[in-house]
Amino acid sequence: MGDIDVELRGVTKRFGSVTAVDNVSFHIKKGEFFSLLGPSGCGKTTILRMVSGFETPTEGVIEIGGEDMSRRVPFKRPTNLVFQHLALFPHLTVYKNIAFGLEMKGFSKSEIRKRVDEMFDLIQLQGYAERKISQLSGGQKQRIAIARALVNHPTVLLLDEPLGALDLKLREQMQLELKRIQREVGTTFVYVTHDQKEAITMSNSIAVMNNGIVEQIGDAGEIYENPRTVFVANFIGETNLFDGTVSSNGNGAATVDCAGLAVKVAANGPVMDGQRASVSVRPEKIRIGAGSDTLTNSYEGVVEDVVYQGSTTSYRVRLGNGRDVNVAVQNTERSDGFSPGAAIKVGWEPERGVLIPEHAP
Amino acid sequence: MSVGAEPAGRTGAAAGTASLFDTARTSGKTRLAVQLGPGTAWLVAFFAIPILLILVYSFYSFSDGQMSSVLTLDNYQRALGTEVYRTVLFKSLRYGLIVTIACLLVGYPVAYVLARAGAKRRHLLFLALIIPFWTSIVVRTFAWKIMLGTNGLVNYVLRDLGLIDLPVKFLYTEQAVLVGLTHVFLPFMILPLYAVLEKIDPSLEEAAMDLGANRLRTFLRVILPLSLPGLSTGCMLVFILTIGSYLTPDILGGPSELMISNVIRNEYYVTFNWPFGGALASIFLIITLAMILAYNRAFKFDRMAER
Ligand SMILES: Nc1ncnc2c1ncn2[C@@H]1O[C@H](COP(=O)(O)OP(=O)(O)OP(=O)(O)O)[C@@H](O)[C@H]1O
Ligand SMILES: [Mg+2]
Repeated sequence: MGDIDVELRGVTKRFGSVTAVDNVSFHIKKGEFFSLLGPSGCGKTTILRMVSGFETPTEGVIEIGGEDMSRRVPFKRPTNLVFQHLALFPHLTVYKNIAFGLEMKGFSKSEIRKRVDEMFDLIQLQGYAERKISQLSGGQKQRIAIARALVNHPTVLLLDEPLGALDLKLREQMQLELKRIQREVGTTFVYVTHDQKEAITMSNSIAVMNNGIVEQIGDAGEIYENPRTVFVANFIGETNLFDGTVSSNGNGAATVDCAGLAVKVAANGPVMDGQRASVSVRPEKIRIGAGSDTLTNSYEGVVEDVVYQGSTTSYRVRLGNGRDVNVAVQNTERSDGFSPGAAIKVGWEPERGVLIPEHAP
Repeated sequence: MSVGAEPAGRTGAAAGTASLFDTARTSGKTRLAVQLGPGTAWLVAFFAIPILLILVYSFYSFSDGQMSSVLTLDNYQRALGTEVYRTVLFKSLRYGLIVTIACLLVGYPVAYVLARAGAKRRHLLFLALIIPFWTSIVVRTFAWKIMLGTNGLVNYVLRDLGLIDLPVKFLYTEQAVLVGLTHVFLPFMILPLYAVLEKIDPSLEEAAMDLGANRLRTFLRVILPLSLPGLSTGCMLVFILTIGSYLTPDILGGPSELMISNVIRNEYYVTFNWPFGGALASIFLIITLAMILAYNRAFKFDRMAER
């Protein structure tokens, strides 16, 4: 398999009684922008540290370019890591920071200069070569950290929340810049983040992690449209979850009884009657008001809360059984909307929802 | 009794100081004088004046056991012109250099381990480092005497292991003095080194390794340069303390291990030749100051402060 750059097979890492990473397996293709996404403490940094060699897996195998890494010391691995807290060398100039890796590998002075200058162009920080690290802004530091790793032309570039410390504006700007750099150099990126928006906009492929376990791997669309676990449905975007038991199923359709509310949903996998399951319906997939009474899932409710958000308006609607659903409506024409207290109907077609059986694979 | 009254008195003094600060708030100079005043007065009374007196006495004459205020340069001529005193001076500086290097070699790894140890282990190691300080330096130095004596622990162990037949003379040698000095001044190297090493983010080491540096190069290119401020402070402290040391050569050394302080002391208390003692002390002081200045320049403290 020549086009696989990184492969983890059954990798587990325990620190004493804490299992930081639990039987994780995935592979990353060459040139892919792969994101590890999950809440704080779910084991993302630990995975990167195992790939770069600073932690040894308790169990399992890590291969890079088809080669087992278990006996390779960090300074001999074809990876470079952009540290969560950057770890730039405070006693060296910007130039010396970026040149560090090349100097260690014994490149000639002229070759080093050429490659470092290329980096300055790439990160658009020409003229900063002789600055001290303490004389840089946060965003500049992050770009230097990325350049310091990238200049070595690693097979795999590992980035641990490299934009974590930035404000929103700079963050979005840096996201675009990172994407551009990745397109230009074609290196495989493994990108750690706890920001689902960031993962969705940047990645070819996302692994959603929770408590040391990879819950789902797929591209952004698949993870958003077809969450396989309740955690994924909740963590990526907003959703309405209807928990209940399957009351009937067959012909690729199922009905989940959720506290007296019968919710019809398309079922792709096998489910059994009586099984506990959840139905996830995204707020923007629910119709409100006109036209919603002819839909398969159609319920009466009262508007509880209206939040105008510019391009969309968000409604909280209380259904007959006392349950709240969130509905997001695109403000395509005008924002006439509904007022709190209005009795309306909401509805959606079964294929708009996603059936998530408990103990999903 | 006054025990009960004391806290009240202190509070009163504190209140007085506070009101003093209040009135001084408008004038930064007054406030500075208040803050620096007591320390400065103390230093002038107990440090500057005595040193000045030593300096003045060093130009007095001395004959037939009598000191007279006839000014002369004879004392300096004798101090610099006599082989014995030059030798002692150079020996003190040489001991200073050797002990500084020994403390650096022994202390750096200890400081590093200390800085990277977990909280619990660090606590124990620090205790091990600090506990000897609870006994006086005299006691610690006498302990070395017991260790190194003809019937001492070291000879006993060596004989028991069959490595030697006759006891080796450790005591009253240069080596004994150097070992003793290294032991006494080691903490002065370890503590400043620890203070800087502890502040170096371990992820900097990982970053160096990630970029292809092995352990040695990581040390040389990252840890060592970042620890230079502590290293230079430690070296300076140990060097200055060593060249001025008096007790250790007195206890562990023989006549040929006398250092400059021992010789100065003998002039003051054995021959009572204060002028000559003063001249020796002044020469020593000037050499020490000159070395500190040269050292500071070499280490370019101002440039490091920029970092
Ligand atoms: N050296 C260690 N010793 C003990 N426990 C550790 C160690 N490193 C990590 N852990 C634990 O492993 C778990 C995963 O940590 P990790 O740093 O991988 O999380 P993360 O997903 O990167 O979180 P964040 O988003 O906050 O950076 C946490 O519960 C953490 O406390
Ligand atoms: Mg992390």
